[in-house]
Amino acid sequence: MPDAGPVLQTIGLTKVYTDFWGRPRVRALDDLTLDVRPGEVFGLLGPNGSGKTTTIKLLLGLIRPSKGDAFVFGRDPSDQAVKRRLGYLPEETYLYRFLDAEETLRFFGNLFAIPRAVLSRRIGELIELVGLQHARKRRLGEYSKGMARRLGLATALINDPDLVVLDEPTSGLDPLGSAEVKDLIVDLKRKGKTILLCSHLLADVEDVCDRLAILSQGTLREMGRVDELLTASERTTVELDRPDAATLAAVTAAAGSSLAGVSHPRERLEAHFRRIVAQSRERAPGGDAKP
Amino acid sequence: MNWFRGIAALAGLTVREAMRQRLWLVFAVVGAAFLLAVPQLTAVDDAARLKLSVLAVTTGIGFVITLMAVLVAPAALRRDLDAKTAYTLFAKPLKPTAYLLGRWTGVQLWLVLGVLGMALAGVAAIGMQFGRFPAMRTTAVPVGWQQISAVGEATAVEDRKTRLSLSGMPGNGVRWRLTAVPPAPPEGHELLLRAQVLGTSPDQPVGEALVEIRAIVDGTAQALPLDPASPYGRHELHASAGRVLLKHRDNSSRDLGQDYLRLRLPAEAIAADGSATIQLTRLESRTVIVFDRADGLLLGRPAGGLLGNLLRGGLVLAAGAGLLAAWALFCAVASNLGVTLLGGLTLFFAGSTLDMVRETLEYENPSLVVRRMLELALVVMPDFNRFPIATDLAAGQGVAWATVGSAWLYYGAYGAVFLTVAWIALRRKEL
Repeated sequence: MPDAGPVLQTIGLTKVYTDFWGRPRVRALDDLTLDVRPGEVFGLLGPNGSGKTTTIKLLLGLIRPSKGDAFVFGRDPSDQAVKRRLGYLPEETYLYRFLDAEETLRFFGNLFAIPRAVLSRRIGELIELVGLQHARKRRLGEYSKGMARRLGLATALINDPDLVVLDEPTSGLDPLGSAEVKDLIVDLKRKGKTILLCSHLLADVEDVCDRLAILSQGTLREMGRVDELLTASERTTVELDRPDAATLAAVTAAAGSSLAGVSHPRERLEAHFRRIVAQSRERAPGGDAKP
Repeated sequence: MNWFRGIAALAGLTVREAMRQRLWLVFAVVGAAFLLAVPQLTAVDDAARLKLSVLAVTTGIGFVITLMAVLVAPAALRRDLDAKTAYTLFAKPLKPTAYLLGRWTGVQLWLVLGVLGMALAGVAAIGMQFGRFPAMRTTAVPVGWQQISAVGEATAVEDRKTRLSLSGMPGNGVRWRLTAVPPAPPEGHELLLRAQVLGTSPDQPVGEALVEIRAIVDGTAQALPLDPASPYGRHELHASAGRVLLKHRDNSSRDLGQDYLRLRLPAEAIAADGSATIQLTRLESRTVIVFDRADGLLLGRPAGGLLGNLLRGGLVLAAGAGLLAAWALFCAVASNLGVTLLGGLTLFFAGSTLDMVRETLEYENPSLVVRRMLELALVVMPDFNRFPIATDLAAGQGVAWATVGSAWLYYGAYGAVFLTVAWIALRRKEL
C-alpha cells in the first residue's frame, strides 16, 4: 500500500438531517472519530438506526457532514480519485433490472474507464468468483435476492479496489453464500485490501474483522481489536480431549473455588451447517454444483 | 476520457433501457398509424391531400418525440433516485455532469432513432398512396428591397417595414436584390413570386394584376421567362416576354409548388459578383399589390427528396425536444415524476403560445403589468414555433442543414442553461 496514513479517517463527524426549512430533524451521527488502517478488516457494528449507513454515505461522499471531517485515502470522499480506488456494496442491491450480469458489470466497469480487453477479462473472473456463470445472460429482474447480492458484490469489485465498503454483505444470502462471502473477505484481506464491513450480524463481524467499532444512537460506544474486546481476561478455559472421570475430578478439585463451570464445548452452528452440507454433497452421486 | 466514458455509458444505458422497456413500440404504432391514416385523409384535390399527408406525418413525429423527451430521461433519473440505484452510481467515479449529460445524450439518441423509424414509415405511406413525393425547395430571401416610382426613381424600403404596397398610376414597382446566387443550371434558377392583389377599394376585390418582371444586368433590363411548370402567370392577351399575370395569394395558404408564380433566372441575369437584381413593374392602375418582405420574391433551389428533408426536420424537432428533456431532467432532480411531466408539458405549451403573445402585444392594449410580463415571456421563453418544420415541409420548403444548426444553437442554449440548473440541483441533493 503506498498510503502510509489511515485509509479511512473521521474526525468529529456529525450528521444532522434537517427538514425542508433547514430545521434539525434527527441527529443520525454524533461526533464520530475513528480510523481504518491499510490492509485491515474493520467492522462497523450497531443496531438499526445506529448511524452505520449514514457513516458509510458520508465516507462515500453521497451526503455532506453537518460538522467534522471525513477523509478517504487522505482526501475528501467526494474526490473522483478516491472513488476510483473504492468498491461499494450497498445495504440493498440497487442495480438495473433490465440488464444481465455481464451488461451490469460492463456498465459499471465503463464508469471506471477500464480498458475494454481488461474489462472483459475481469467480468469473466468476477462472474466466476461470485458463482453466477449459469446466469450471466439472465436479466436481473429474474434474479433471486441472493443472486442479485452476489452480482452486487461483483460490481463492488469491478475496479479491483483498494478499499471495499460492504454494507450488510450477507443480507439475503443462504448460509453457504454467507460463508463464501466471508471467505472472499478473508481472501481480499490477504491481497492487502482494506475492508469496511458494516453489519448487525455479529457472527459475521467476529469471524472476519480485525478491529471493530460499535455504534448506538449515532454515537461511538466502543472501538478496538476484536480479540481484545471479546476476550474475558479474568477467565480461563481449559479444554481436555476425552478426559476420563478421574482426570476430570482431579482438574476440578485443583481448580477449587475458582471453578466457574464444566461443560462440553459447542460447535458453532455455521460451522456445523457447512460441514453437514459438504458431507451430503460428497455422498451425492455426480458431485457438487455451486448454487 | 473518464468523463466521456461516463457520458457514453449513461447514454448507452438510457437507450438500452428504452429498448428493453419496449418504448420502440410507440414508434412502431405511430409508423403503422401513418400507413393506415394517410390513405384516409381527404382534401379538395390530390395536391392538397399530399400536403396534408406531409403535415400529418411531421406533426405526428413532433408530437411523439416531444412526449418521449419529457418522459424517458427524467423517468430514468427519478427511478435512479427513488430505487436508490444512485447510491451505487455515485459511489463510482461518475460526476453529476457526466450523469446528466449521459442521460440527456441517451434520450437524444433515442429520439433520433425514433425520428428515423417514423420518417421511413411516413415516407413509405406517402409513396404508396400517391406514387410521388412533393418537390422540395430551399429558398433564399433578397437582401435589398427598393420601391420604384412611376418615373423610375428608386427608394430603399425601411428595414422596419415588413410589407410594401403598390397602388396608384401604373409604372411603379419594386426592385429586389439577391446576393450570393450560385451558378445557374442550364435551365436557370427558379424565382418564386407571390403577392396579395386587391382592388383599389376594400369592396372591390380584383384578384389578379398584369405586371412586368425583368432582371437588371449592367443597367439593361432583361425579360425573365415564365417557368413552363408555373401554376399561374400566363396571360393570353399579353403574352410578350416578361409580362405575367400575378394572382392574389393571401397568407392562409403557403405552398411553394402551388401558391407562387414561377419564373426562370438564367445564368446571364446573374452578375459576376453573384448578385441579381429583379424588378417588377405594375402595368395596371386598378389594383393594389402588396408584397411581404419575407415572402414576396424567393430564389428557389432543389432541396432533395422528402425523406432527407423529413430527417433534417426531425433533427430540428429533436433540438426542441432536447430542450424539453433538459428542463424535465431539472424538474426530475427537484421533484417527483408527476411534477416533472407537468413541468415539461407546461413549458412546451407555454413556448408554443409566443405567437399569440406577440399578437396580444401588437393588437391589444393590456395593462402595464401584463404588458411587462408578456414582454418578459417573449425574452425568456423558448419559442417552439420558431422553426415551423411541419408547415414548411407541407409547403414544399426544404430543411437545410443551416436550419438544423440554427435550431440546435437556439434550443441548445436553453438546454445548456437547464442542464446547468439541473447539475446544481443534483450536486446539492443528498442521496
